[in-house]
Amino acid sequence: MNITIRAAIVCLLSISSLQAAERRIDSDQGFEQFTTSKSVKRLDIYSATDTRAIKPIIEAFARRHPYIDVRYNEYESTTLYNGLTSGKITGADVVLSSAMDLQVKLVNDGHARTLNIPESIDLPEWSHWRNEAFGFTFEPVVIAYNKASFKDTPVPSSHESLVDALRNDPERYYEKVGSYDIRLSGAGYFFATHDTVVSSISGRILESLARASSHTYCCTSDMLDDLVEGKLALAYNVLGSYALARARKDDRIGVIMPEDYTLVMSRIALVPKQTDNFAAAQAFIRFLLSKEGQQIIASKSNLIALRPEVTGPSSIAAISEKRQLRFHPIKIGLPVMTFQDEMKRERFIREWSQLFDARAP
Amino acid sequence: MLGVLLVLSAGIWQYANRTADISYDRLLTGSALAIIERIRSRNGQVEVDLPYAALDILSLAPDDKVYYVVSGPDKQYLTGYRDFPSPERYTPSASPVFYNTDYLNEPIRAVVVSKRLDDPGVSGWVEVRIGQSRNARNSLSNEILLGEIAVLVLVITLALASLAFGINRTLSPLNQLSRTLRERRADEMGPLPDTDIKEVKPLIASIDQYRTRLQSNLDMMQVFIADASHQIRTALSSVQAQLDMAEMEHDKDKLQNRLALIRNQHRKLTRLTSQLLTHALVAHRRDTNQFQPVKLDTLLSAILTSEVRDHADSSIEFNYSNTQRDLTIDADPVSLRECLRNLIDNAIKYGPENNSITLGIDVEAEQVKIFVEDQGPGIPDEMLQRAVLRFERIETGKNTLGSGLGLAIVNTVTEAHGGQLHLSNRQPQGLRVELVLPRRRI
Repeated sequence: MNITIRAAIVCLLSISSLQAAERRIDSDQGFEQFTTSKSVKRLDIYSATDTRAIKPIIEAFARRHPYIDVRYNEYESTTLYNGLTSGKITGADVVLSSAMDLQVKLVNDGHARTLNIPESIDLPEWSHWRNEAFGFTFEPVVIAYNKASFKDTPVPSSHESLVDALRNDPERYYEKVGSYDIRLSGAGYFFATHDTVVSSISGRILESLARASSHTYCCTSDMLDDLVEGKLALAYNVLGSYALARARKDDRIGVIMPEDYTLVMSRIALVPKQTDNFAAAQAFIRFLLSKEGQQIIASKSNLIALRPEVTGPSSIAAISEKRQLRFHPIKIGLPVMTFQDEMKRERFIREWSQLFDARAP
Repeated sequence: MLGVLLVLSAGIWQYANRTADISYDRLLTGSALAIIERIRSRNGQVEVDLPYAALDILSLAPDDKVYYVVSGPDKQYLTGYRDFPSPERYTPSASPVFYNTDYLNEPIRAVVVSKRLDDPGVSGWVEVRIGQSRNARNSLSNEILLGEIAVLVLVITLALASLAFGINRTLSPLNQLSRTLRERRADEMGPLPDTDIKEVKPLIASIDQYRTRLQSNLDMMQVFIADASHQIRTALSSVQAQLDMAEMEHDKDKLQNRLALIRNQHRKLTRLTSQLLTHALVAHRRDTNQFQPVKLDTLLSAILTSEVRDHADSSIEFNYSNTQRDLTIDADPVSLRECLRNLIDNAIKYGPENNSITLGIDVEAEQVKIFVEDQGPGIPDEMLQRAVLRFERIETGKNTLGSGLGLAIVNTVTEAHGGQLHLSNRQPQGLRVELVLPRRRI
């Protein structure tokens, strides 16, 4: 009886402390941190995911596990990878990142622990590797556009038609196209390289983008900002989750999922070897993949849930809107490491730079 | 059986490992060749454009980690995992070389392949080393191992079961037979029930044959005993009658006559009793197996000496024929002496007054023949076969009591020594009886 009452009180306390969840910026270390509660066990989540996007799921987990004190630390994905491999970052219990290639390399190089995920959690074949790396989102790589710029003409609906449009209508697109600067963005590099794996016209896409003197960006959000302001007419290979979320709020923006193929990436969760709280870390990842966790992602976050059976504004069903789409999920596994090869990377960036540095000033 | 299973399992384990290695080594080779093909020189620099297929091929082993390193001429590092180990003692060669190593605390199966680059400004061997963790190999080899062992256990179990079934089935007629024999009354003599099993038929035939022989022996023994008791009684009552009459006889001459008759009857009775006792003796000695090394020369000389002494007053001539003075065989000297004395006595009994009897030994490789020859009338040729039978089976008839017992003794002794009896007629007259004994255990 005593225990039950105490548990109930702790529960109440944690919920109230949640509501007052403290949020602060630690500018010295360049990462953002917030804490859900102060309890017995501590779970440190190191993540390269926008804090706002991930917050609902972490709060829900903390509510389920009031004894776990969840700390969330946001990093840039490369910094996180380098810190974990060099040993400069310690104390991580869970690592979340959209850099699939880097996450897979962490697993391959023996930095991750094997998890026991129950059979009942039914995951797509492509979304996990070795019981160490688990994708938990389904994020198409899309074309976003400013609706006003396309009042009089159809928006290119495939990679093929984008190349044609850039060639046939150069005035419309000149300096009005945005794409990732693959030297600044891991995600941009990842999308560009996977275009070469899936499509035979990837080279022509890059050439056309360069010829149109497209602007290059570090982040999807900057491109979306410029789209809203009309600085850009179209942004190529942006993160679908962010673009769709923005489009839901702002009807000046439209989103195209290319008909020929739509690359799909997944944020990957893993538990690093260095964890000192394995049980809590595993519980968090189970929750992330559970129907409950996925439902929270689909209904409350800006990310898109991985499991097709959940419903909500950011579920697979909602984003495809009954259209026949050719989703091409990038399988989590060895091959994504290919473009992390030093020499391959150097060569790809060199060729990319030669194209884009030749743009008219 | 467990030992066999273990030995076979060890063999299968070897085989399973080799098969798994061969399968996945092909993937490794494919991957290494795909990489090495993409090594080029460009402006005097060696470059490799890692093909997507290289890692894609290896992801056919879905849970395995992969490490690789590419190096240029003079072992110059190009790309990959800088400290990935090389095989010991490697000479660059275009054919793949496989090796086992450890990397990042995991056992790794690796391959190294080299290629000679001879481009302007760049010349030398470039090398690709690529390794893979062993999960897929281990699970394939375990799968093969378990599958094969399951088959093996199944086969062994089936073999044992069918063996047990077969043995049971084969032996069931024997069980049936022993039950039948157990339940039979001792005097029930008909043949045993027939069987369908070919292998058991001879056994049943032998048992039947044996029983027939035993029965006829028993029958003969019964006749013999009845006959013997009749003769003993007759002799005894005859002696009794002669004694009674002698008591009332007052004439001295007639009394002498009576006494002579009584002595004659008594001698017959003594001989009969002695032979009965002798027969009992040899039968007992046969059953108790009293064999010992016997120097035949000594034995035969002694018999002959005693015969000569017993018949010193007759005109019978005794001869001895033996060239093997030192021949020793394994035999029962007592039975053998009784047997030979009986043969000699027979020769005397049926021979002429001036008989010539020869006792001798013929030695052959495997056999010793002890023979007794006489100059009596012999046996008509057509009767010889019957006579042997007569020796072997105690067929007694009236008036042949003495020789009947004598033959029984001869027969028992011959049998006890594992020998045979041969009868033949001599030219111009006479009979030769041979005791053919095996030469053994000397």
